[in-house]
Amino acid sequence: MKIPVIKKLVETYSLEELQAAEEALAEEQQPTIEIGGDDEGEQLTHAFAAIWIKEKVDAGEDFKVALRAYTSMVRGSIS
Amino acid sequence: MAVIDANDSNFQELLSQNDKVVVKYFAGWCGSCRLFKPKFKRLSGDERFEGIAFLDVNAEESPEARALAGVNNLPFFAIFKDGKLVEGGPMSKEDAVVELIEKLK
Repeated sequence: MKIPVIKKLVETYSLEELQAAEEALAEEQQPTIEIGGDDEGEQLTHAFAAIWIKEKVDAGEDFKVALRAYTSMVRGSIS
Repeated sequence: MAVIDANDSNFQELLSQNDKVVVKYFAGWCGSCRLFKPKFKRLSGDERFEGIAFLDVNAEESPEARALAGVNNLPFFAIFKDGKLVEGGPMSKEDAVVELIEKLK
């Protein structure tokens, strides 16, 4: 999981575009937007993250706060 | 055999009921986990692995089951024999998972 990739996605694309990309990747299809990542799994992880954070940002939360909450959630499930 | 949903409430019981167990640990945020889901289901029905129980554990919701295998990244696969952890590790390639499951035979 690469934070700069997630940040770029949140800043560049709308929630709808990110959701469409997530759906395409989950169906093992090529998304219409560019999503960085070493493989399809990491790309999908980036799409999940961007959507999660974008929803918080669109609701008025600061990006850094939302990102911190997201990374904390991820760390909490692998430690 | 179908993939069984496991969690902290039934994990130990499932380990004691099945001599040979392979566990896939996943999380909602993990893209590779999502992509592996149909592959794990297919492997569970593979006749080569008859007699092996396939479990799915949501790592976010099952800290005790997670700790038993030492999950440090996702997706994480672990094999258990007679209730004891044999081996486990993070992996997303089907070949590596098959190689791991073969160790239960």
